[in-house]
Amino acid sequence: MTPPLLPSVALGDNQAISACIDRYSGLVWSLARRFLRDLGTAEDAVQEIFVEIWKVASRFDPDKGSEVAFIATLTRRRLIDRVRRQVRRPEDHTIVEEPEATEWLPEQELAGREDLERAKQLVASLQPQQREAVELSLYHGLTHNEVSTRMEIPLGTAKSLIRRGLDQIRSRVATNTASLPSPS
Amino acid sequence: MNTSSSQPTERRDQLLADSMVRTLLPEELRELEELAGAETDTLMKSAEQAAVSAAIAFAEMDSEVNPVPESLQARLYQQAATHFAQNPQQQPMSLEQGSEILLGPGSERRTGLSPWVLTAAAGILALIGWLPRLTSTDALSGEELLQGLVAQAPTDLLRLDWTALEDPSSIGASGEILWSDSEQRGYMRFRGLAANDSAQSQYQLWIFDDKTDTKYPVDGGVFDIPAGNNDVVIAIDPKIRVKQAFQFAITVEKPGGVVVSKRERIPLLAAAPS
Repeated sequence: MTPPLLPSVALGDNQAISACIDRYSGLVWSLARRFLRDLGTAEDAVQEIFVEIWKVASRFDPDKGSEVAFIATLTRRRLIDRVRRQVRRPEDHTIVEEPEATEWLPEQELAGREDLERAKQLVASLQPQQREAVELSLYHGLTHNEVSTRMEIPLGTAKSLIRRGLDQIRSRVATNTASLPSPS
Repeated sequence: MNTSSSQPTERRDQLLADSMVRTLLPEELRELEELAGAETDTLMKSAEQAAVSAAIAFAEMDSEVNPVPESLQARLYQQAATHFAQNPQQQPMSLEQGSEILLGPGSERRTGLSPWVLTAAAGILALIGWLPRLTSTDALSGEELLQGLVAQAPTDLLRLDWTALEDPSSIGASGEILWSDSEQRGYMRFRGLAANDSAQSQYQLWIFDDKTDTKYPVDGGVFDIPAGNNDVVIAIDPKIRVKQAFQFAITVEKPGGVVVSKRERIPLLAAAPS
């Protein structure tokens, strides 16, 4: 298992800082490039995200999850915030109150290595059409309408594929979702 | 969004699925809290963990995204150096923290200590790693010191002579630079480089990395040449990793140095043969 870098980054260790960029810039770049589409915007986002990584590095706790999950969680939140700021999606037209930017919760538990392995296996095992729909929605950040257009399938079908795929991932990947409680 | 015809569980799961791909609206969050009660936080965290795990999986399987652009990578390194230099609570560690040695160029700005300057008249500091260990009573000439360094140097030691360019500070100046990519450290020797008034200006080292855009050389830190010292050796302590150094430049900058040099004054240059 690769030792985490963030504790050393938090202390300003030059080698760890460089290694952190080398190790995770590809992941952050992939997520940003897919989520934001515009090259310049994606580059700006990656720079912003790394500044935040430097700021919160000391909050990483290896006992609460993997380092890659820490960085990917932060990255996704910032990308989602960015998309929300940039584009008001068609289904969001009723917004009257802008949600607050998502905050980083250092005490939050993160996906562990086993979760990541399960996710990889599950994603690989999804039916091709469902996998594509989930990938476009979750990884590329497309709206239901955009997924429908891209895949040339009815909107209802797109919604259903995405929903079922996400449910499947959520119920089988996350550590606390083995048995979902019923709402009261 | 129509919730009246949805079953509570169905609607709750729909909101959780939505939370995996976007930020829920305040009214949606309130609705989820009504449906999930005390389990809301746990369910939201689980949904996010699942989304993150899946996103990482997709990213790892994505062979179509181009690699990180070199210019972006270089900016990340530069930005990191700037961030840690500007945030005292996260000051970069020297390679031997707490040691009196190894205060390379730039250390004054970050630590408040004087830069490590070893003159030919007073070689007083111990060095680390592949460098010879000297005691406080040693008094080696610059030549003796550098010969000692070379004798114990790693195999990838780069040794280049400085070339004086057209600048009043470097008329008749010479010297050399020793650098190891594998060790990430090195030394500069200057003969005849003009002393600077650190309240007015400082010298700054730039390391050009063959693996990154030459528009963004690595900041090697600032340093001073004390008055009355014609032969000066200075340790190099770059703020970020240099993969393959091929050229070094000394610029004259404002006190404390700059993040990006305008390259208006370049007294010295050392370049590996192409």
